[in-house]
Amino acid sequence: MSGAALPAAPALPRMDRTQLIVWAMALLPIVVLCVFYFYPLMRVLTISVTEPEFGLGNYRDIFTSSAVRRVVQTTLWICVVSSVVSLFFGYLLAYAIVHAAPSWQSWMLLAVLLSFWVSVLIRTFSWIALLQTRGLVNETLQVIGLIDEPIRFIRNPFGVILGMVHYMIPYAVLPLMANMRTIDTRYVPAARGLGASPFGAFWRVFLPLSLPGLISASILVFIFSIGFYITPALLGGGRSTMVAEYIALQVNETLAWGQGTALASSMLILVFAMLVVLGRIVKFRTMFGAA
Amino acid sequence: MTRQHPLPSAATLSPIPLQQEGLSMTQPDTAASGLTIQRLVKQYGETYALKDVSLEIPAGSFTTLLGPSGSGKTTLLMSIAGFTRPETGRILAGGRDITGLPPEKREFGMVFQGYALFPHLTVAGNVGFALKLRRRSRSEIATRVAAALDLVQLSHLADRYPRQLSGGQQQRVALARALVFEPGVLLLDEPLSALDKSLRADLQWELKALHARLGVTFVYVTHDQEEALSMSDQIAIIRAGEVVQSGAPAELYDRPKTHFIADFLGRSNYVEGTVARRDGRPVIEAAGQLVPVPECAAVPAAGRPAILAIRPEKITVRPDDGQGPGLPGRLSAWSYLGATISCRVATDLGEFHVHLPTWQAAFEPQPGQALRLDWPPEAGRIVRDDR
Repeated sequence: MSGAALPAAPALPRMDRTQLIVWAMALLPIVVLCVFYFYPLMRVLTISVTEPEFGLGNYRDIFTSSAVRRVVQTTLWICVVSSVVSLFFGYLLAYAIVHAAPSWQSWMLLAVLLSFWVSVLIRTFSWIALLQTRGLVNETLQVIGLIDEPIRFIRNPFGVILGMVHYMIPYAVLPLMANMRTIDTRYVPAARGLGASPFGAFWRVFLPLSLPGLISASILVFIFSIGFYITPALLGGGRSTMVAEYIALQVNETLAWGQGTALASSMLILVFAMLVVLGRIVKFRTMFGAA
Repeated sequence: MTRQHPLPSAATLSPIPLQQEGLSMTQPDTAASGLTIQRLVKQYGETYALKDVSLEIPAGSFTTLLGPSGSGKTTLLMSIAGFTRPETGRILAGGRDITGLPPEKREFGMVFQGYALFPHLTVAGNVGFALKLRRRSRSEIATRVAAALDLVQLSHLADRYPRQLSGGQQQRVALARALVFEPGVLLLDEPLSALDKSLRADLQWELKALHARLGVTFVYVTHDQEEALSMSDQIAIIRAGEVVQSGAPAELYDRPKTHFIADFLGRSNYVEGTVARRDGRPVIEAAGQLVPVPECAAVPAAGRPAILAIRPEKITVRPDDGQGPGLPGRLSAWSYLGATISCRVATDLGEFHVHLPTWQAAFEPQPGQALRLDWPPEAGRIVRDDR
């Protein structure tokens, strides 16, 4: 940056001026974050210990309420299943992309990332259009005579898991790919040369070496899965209520703000705890392939 | 096939035999298999990585595939290993056709460039990998891993991980890992290229001694001609997907068939001119000089162009006294290399490189000094022009 434009500037040393500009540029985002993010967050935490009365009563209720227990159970098994399925497909995709010819790699990656550009809402409604009882899939299957009655694809846990997996696969692919790229391409041939079958080489060499990627991808995907709101609400048809939907219900419908915010805060703490564990396993910078 | 060469211990290995027992390829009690490569062709798109390569690799020999990078030598090794499937041609091991076999069914040991040691396994885990796959008993694995590590003198590092080892140590682990299941053939892909020069020289001796001990067929890929000359029983020089010439190192060095080989394996001076006959003996006429040529089948008919290659160390130099035979020239540069003096001499036939043993140099080098170069006619070789 040339100093000619600012004749008064020489009073300040060059280094300080650069720092000043950096701080000025950072000021606006900091203010925005404080007003629209940290303040509401503090409010949520405050409400959870003050409504309806001061104390940890709301948190105690989480452990005693049978409704909460049911919701947490549903959330947990749906999240575990959808995470495992996402990891499975994510692993296959990442493996295929990393081992594809370089000219193909960027196209394959683009195809995976394309889904980021479509909003969750649109994707969820697309699934409904495809899978409802009078949707494209059921009508087609009936016309070609494979089924007589329409299959219930949605408004059940299957629909929820389908929608969630669709959303989470790219989040599984990215950390897995970043990890697989670091695995020397000679390891598998080396194992083959020593007598391993193609699967044996994968099982004994490639899989163990991709474990760090698998662990970071699974924590990341699981954290994502806990927070799903629109997908379970629309594809679950009210039958498999998950935590996020339940919180919205408490806040919007039953106006049990204390209960809702306590649950929200507990989730936040849980996610932070998982992030701490994740941070011990991998460096965040390398997780998405940053240098 | 039964393989029974027991891995000797380091104690029996330590006095490294300085003199190889001739070029005899018959070794006692080996189960090494020979390889026959018949007319291999491998194409990548439009370019041929291998075009019609045939080569006989005798059982128990140390055969080096030597060539510049991109010549196809690694493709040839990978075809032998089973990682590359040639379009046409066959590979036989001990008379058995293995062309269609996957790598794990070929039972060849392989040392990769950069070693490819498994980072999640210890040294012992790496070395025992092949035995574990073969479902050997735990005690057998332990004994054999210990013997293999002993062979490469790394027993004390069995519990380390590859990243904790130096380059030379990693190289030895890779060797032990490839030899532990007693393969009849060991394939080595530029195993020394990542090491510094002095270590490389040491490991060359060790590899050669190991080969002599085990009697296993070694197929060694390198682009380093000194490495090839110092270790091999047989060198196959590969260029642009073809074996240009194969034979014992001395044969290739002393009797190169083409300009490329004379240039790639060591250095050469070249005299280019037209063949003529003087007193019934062949000569090359170039720039008004008549250079005698050894009588051999490669000499073209009189009037045809020819190239004569002369090794720099076969030329003698004396101060020019204006008399006697020899090619006059002037010393343009020299450098003292300890054992030898390397001279550049400007002559009517172009610049000549001459290597003189220091103790034989019969003159004090002076810039621009008038010299006479001479060599016996047998020192020259007519080479085919394949530039």
